[in-house]
Amino acid sequence: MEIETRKEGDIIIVKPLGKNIDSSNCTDFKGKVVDLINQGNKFFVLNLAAIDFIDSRGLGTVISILKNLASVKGILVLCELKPQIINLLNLTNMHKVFHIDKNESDAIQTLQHLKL
Amino acid sequence: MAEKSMKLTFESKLDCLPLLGNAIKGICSCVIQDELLLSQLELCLVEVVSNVINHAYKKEAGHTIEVIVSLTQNHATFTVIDTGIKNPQIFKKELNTDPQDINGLPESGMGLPIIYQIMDEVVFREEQGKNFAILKKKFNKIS
Repeated sequence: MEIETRKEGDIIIVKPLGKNIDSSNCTDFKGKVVDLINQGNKFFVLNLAAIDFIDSRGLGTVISILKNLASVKGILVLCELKPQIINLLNLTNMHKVFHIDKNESDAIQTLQHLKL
Repeated sequence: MAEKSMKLTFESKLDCLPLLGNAIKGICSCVIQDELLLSQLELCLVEVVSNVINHAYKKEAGHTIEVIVSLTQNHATFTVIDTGIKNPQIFKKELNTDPQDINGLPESGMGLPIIYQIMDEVVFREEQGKNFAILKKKFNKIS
């Protein structure tokens, strides 16, 4: 899966460019993000604006990324979630787990506060 | 509207899942205008078929999966048929998660609880060497 990344200070914004995060591509996606974590990045904004569909394995991958970051005292904020993605998080109770913002600038601001 | 049905037949490959999802949404959009419901039905069918590919067919390509979609103005029935190994696990209906315990969060096994939350009726059965997953959902016609 192709991803787009950019940095703002020590915050890295990751934007998957495919339409789905599912069984067919979640392993590849996780690998790319874990590589970024292994490069020393700890503060992530995951921009899901392009994502129309996530299945349970895709969600499991995002949870795995969250756990990876937690192990290095990192932080993950999600943003630009479409209604069906928010619905998935609600169905699985994961809306209580993730920091979720409407847009990138809000997500970056949230991260700055959480870092303090 | 009398019940109308369509059968989809495809190979047990994970890269079929996005195509299946779009097909389900497209077919159901004939009678369902609620975009969120369409997405939920897409999710349920992808979850079932993903389980078939990963568990019943052990991720092997070359096997056949059938999905029958039956629609009326206020009722949808999806039947997923495979000839793979029946999942011996007890099907978990509920997802127990503690949002405060990040290390304890599930990374797998969420598919069936999701399906049970969305669908009105879920039946798994085996018949003459074939596995059937039958999912039913009622909805209101928007006029």
